[in-house]
Amino acid sequence: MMLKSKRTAVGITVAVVLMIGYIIYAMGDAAPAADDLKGWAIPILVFIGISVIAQMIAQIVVHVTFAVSVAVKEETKDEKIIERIIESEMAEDEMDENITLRSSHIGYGCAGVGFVLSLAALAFFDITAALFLNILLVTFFVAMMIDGAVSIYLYEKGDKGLCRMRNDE
Amino acid sequence: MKKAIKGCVGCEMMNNIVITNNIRKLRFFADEMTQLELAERTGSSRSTIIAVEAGKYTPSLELAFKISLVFRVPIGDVFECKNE
Repeated sequence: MMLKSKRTAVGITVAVVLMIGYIIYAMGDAAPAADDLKGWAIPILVFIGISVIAQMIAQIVVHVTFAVSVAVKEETKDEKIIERIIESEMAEDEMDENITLRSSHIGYGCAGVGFVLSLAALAFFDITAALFLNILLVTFFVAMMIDGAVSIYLYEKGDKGLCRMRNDE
Repeated sequence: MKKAIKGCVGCEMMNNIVITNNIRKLRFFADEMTQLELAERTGSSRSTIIAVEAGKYTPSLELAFKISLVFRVPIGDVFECKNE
């Protein structure tokens, strides 16, 4: 598994764990009243803040783990070689741009469909504004998950564009 | 104004092409050049070189030329196109 796939997989795992935590909070007794929109905005903001910090910590852990695994795999203590490998793995190039473009395209599509569906739910069903806000949050979460999953798929299975490619070996 | 290419033999067969590469072979003959070294010399990441070599990623024309320049061979010796 490539480093970038691992980073994305860890990011998805952290996001899922946090979302489960948020759902437990939202379903629990501590949740604000259904018509208290301002009351809901604060926990959502806190949730987003915690998510950002948790993702940063997770990425640092991934990098440290990767550096150790490179040192073990390459059987070297030469810091320069380890540094070169990490730098090369971290470098963003055309393949990353292509994969990011494709996965975010699908992610944005899903977010758009989710937004329309949540608007339809607001228009045709008797849902509260707070529920609409939560549906939106879940929509963006699902879109982010799909974005990550597509990204991992493209990194692992390959992004061949319109051509087929094969190794001669 | 677009013009139809006359005498384009095999245009109708261009749908299914398979691109193969000889990067592993070329690396071997280039004094066992590592994927890391090739990545550094082409200005791409090691994972991209691994993906290209494994046939998982179709590189841009620019990267394809850079790879051929590193090995000092024509691009046709690095990548080959076959009709299926």
